[in-house]
Amino acid sequence: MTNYQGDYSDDWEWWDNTEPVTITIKRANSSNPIPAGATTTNISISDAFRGDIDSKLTEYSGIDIASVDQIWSVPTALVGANRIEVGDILTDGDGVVWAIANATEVTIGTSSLYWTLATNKRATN
Amino acid sequence: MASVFHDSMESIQARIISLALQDILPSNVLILKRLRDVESDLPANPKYPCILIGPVGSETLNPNAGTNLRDEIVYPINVAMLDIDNQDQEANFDRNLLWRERIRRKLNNCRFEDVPEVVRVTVQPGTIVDPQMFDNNKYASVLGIQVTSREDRIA
Repeated sequence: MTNYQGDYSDDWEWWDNTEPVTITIKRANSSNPIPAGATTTNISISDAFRGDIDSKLTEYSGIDIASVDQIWSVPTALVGANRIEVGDILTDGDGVVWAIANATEVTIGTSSLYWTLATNKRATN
Repeated sequence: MASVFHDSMESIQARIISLALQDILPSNVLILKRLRDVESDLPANPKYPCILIGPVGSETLNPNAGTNLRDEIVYPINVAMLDIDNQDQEANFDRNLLWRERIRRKLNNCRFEDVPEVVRVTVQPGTIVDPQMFDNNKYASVLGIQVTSREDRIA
C-alpha cells in the first residue's frame, strides 16, 4: 500500500459525446417546510453522458406497465455540494424530463468522480 | 353465441362507462386480452387516463359448488385504472380514489341482468397505489372482479 492520494474528480473532462442537462432538486426547508412549497433548485450541468436507453414492461398485479429507462452519468464536480436523491428530475437538452429512480455516487477512495443516475422518462399523453 | 366470460367483461365495461367517472372518456374504457400499457393498445388523444378490463390467471371450477344441473365457474377479471402521475404526491389523488370507490360500489354484489348465467359478482381490491408504478411515473390501481356463473352442461 502506498500513501499516494490521487484526485480522480476531473476524469469527466476526458469524456466524449457529452451533452448539457439540468437537474432539478426540490427540498423542503425551514422557509418552505411543506413539500408543496419546497424550494426548487436547478443545477445546470454542461457535460452529462447519456448511457443505454431501455424500453420495457414491468408486471404489476396482472398488468404490464410500459416505461422507458435511461442511464446518465453526471460529474460530481458539476453537481457541487448538492446531493441527488430519488424523486429529483433531470431535463435533457431536448426538454425530455427524466425522473431519477436511483442515484449512485461513484467514488475511488476519497475522490468522487460522478453520479450514475437511473431514470424513467416522464409519461405524456 | 357469445361467451359468458366476454359478456361479463362487456357488462363491466358498460357499467363503468355509465358511472361517467371524472376525466374518463367512454372510449378510454377498454377490454383487452392481455392487460398492458403499451401505446399500440391504448386510445389516441388522450391515452390517459384509461381503464383496462381483461382476464387474469385462470377460471376456477369448484366441484362442490353448483347444482345438479349446472356447474359453477368463477371468471377472474381485472379492472385497472391507469393515468400519468409523474410522481406528484397530490394531483388527482382524491379523483383516483373516487374512481376506485365508485367502481367497487357499482360492481360488488351486483347482478348482470344482461348475462343470465351470472349469479354473483364480487370485488377483491388490489393494491391501491403501487409504489413501483409510482416511481415509473404512472398511477396504476387495480380491482379484481370475481364473476360467478352457473352454466348448463352441454349434452
